[in-house]
Amino acid sequence: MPTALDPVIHAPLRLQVCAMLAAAQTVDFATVREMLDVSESVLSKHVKVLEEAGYVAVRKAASDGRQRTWLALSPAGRKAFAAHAAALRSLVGDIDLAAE
Amino acid sequence: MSHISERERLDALAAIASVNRHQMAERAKAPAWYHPAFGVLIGGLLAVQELPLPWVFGYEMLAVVGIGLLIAAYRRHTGMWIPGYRAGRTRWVAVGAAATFAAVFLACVWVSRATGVHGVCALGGVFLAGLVTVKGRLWEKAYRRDLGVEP
Repeated sequence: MPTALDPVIHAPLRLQVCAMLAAAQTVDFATVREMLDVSESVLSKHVKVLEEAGYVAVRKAASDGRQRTWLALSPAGRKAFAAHAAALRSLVGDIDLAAE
Repeated sequence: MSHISERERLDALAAIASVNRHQMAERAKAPAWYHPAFGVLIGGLLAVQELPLPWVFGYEMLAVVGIGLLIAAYRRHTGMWIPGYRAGRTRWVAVGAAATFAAVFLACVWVSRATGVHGVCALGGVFLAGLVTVKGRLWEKAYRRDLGVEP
């Protein structure tokens, strides 16, 4: 029986955020926003959901005289994302994840 | 989770598959000077080994500061930080690189001290600088392969 899908991660934008954070250790909020091409408020809302679930850690740090917000998957978030991705894979069978 | 339709599942999977992997890979590319600069700092650690001890300590402190500045510059440039030892092909490249650097470093210091020939560490440092540069680029290639954007 595959692990159930995680409703916190399942929303497409949150899934993308998690996938991006899984590929790096920390990513700047502005970089995530730029890559996903969404507004700051929309991304903030989704990041907050992930943060409240304990999946994403948000850290603010000054850099070059301005405040930057760094996002990182927490260990629980990494685990949840891996389980969610595995559940998706098992649900859709042999679709190649690397395929465009 | 029956309220999630098959279509949504496929869309979600596609989102994972296409999650800006190319963009991530492009973003993660270090500036052209990053790996050579890192190589010079690491190669310098070996090159100074034949100098008097205060110079060695002085350079080591300089190298620590330099590496910190390089990491900050990388983060500023790319908007992200990726640990060298992250799981995947990248980990093997990083471990292999660290082992190679240590072997070159120890071999040069040993030859220099055992034979008393001057310049071995300086030459080794130049070699190490090149090696670090090449390994850095190989790491980036491995990262791109891990992301599935390069065969």
